Amino acid sequence: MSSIKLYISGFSALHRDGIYTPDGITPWESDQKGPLDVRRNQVLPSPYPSFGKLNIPDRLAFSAAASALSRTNQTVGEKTGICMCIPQGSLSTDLLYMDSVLNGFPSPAFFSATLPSSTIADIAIFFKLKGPDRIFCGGDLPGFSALDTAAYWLKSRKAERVLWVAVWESSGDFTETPEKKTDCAIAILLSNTPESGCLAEMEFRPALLLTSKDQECNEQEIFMGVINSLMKKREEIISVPGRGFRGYISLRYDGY
Amino acid sequence: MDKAVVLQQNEILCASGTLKSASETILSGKAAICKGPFFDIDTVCAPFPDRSWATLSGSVHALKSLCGKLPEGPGVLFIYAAAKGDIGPIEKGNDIPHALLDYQARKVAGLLGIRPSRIMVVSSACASGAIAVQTAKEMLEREMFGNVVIFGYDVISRFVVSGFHSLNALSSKEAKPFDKSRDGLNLGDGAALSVLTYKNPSQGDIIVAGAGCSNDANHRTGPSRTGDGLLRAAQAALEDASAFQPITGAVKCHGTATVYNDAMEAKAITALFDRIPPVYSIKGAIGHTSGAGSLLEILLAAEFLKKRKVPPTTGFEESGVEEKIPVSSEIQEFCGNSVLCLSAGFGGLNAAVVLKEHGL
Repeated sequence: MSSIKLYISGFSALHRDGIYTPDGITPWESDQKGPLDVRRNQVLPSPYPSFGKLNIPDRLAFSAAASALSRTNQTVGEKTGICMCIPQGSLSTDLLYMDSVLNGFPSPAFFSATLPSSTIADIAIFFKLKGPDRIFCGGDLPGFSALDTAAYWLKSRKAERVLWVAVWESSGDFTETPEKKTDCAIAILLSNTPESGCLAEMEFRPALLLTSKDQECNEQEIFMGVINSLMKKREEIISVPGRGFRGYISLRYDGY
Repeated sequence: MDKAVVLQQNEILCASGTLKSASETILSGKAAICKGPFFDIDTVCAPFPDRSWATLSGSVHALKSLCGKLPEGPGVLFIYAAAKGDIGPIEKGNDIPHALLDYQARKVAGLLGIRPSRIMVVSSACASGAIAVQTAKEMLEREMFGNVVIFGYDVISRFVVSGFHSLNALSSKEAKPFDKSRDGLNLGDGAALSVLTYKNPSQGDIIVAGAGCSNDANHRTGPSRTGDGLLRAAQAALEDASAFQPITGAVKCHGTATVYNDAMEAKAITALFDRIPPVYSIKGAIGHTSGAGSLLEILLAAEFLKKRKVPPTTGFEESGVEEKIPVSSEIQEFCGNSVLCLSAGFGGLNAAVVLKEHGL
């Protein structure tokens, strides 16, 4: 399977240590415990009245996207797609909505956020991203499924740019190893040409595995590794073992 | 013609039964809906006739039995497509992790016994099934897998009925897509299973000739009033299908029977075609089956294409949209070689799939 070259022109991550951007890491303030306490003015310079009403998955996704897009000089819009990985879906909001049903007053605001697609809606509306969308809510390596889809769309010119977004919500994580994960959201803006303002070149090589052998893979750690490499401009080849799929990501910075 | 993505095995479960019985019932114009109340809400729904289908495992067993042998093992990609799927654990407050779509996908793959190389979970609200078909098409054309098995499942529940009711989207009467008296949708039970493969098609095979998707970037739950998002998805699908020279003989609409959806679709369809082919919606017959619905409706559209019929739009009597679109009010002959299937979902999502009968 041939490799695909992608160009990174914006990124951000909300992690327990702070907000990662090309400018550095901004630690959380003393009254903030982590990504769930993110404030609008930490990720977006302009007002967004709906920010405070966003439920956890939507707020994490929007914040990472806003932090990445507000720092790029690239024009995003009609031909910008969104590929999202959100393994826990909208489970935490589902529980909030069900509480409102049991209390006799089903909340339309909560209900409209009980679909993982609501995480895309706020990003698309605010930044006017009208290209193709795809949301992977679990399965094997959903983050890589989203990256693979983004790469394919860019290569086949179905989109000019793709915003790759991943959200991991620890409160909605019922897997056997939740202690390994933390609330985290990452956004990376990808394009298929090295425009001005390009930060790095990413070569992505998906490879098919025809075995169904399970292999341990913590996607959050791997993609935070990508963010750390981007922060330090460290050339690196990252191998991703998985079930039925394997990816290689190499990062280069020559001339960027 | 070179290789194409072929719908190899298809089966559905809905209020009108299985693929064979549902296609015949819908073509006859009959509705399989029941007057409520449902969960103390005055509405009309379209539940499964066999209640054993209403559980996730029950629908898997029924569809597996109907489909016969499925591809399994290395080279098989399994895609689970649902808006909410089995929301029972949330409603009961027990086994909450079992409400995760990831858990449901692995359970279904296990019950089907297909031992796939890889599992994907695609959730794009009411367009989930159509987006799953698009995902399958992309993966097969890239020859990453030999076969893709898609399973879609969404059923009537207190969670979903109360949610749509809170948005004032439900009708207390039979849904009337595109009709002047339409006032909301009817929810329905739905499950569907499809096997897609990439091969040199044979005469009569139904191929997935094109697919496209877009975002309205307009509103969280409501469609764009202009229909521009759905138009872009449809244009992308038709462009994707261009190598197969599609001649659109019918448009399967999302057609929910809500005021804004149908008005938006009429605008998009009018902008898309110089000469508009017959358009239809089957939601007046089997209800809105949510994320499973767009897969189920694609598989029914393939069945109608094989029969060379355009079904009536059950519930439609007099046009209630501004544009003059030819809403199919009774069964008619199909002219053309392909059908355009439209879907939309919360989050501003739009999806379009072009099905074509090979050899026409």
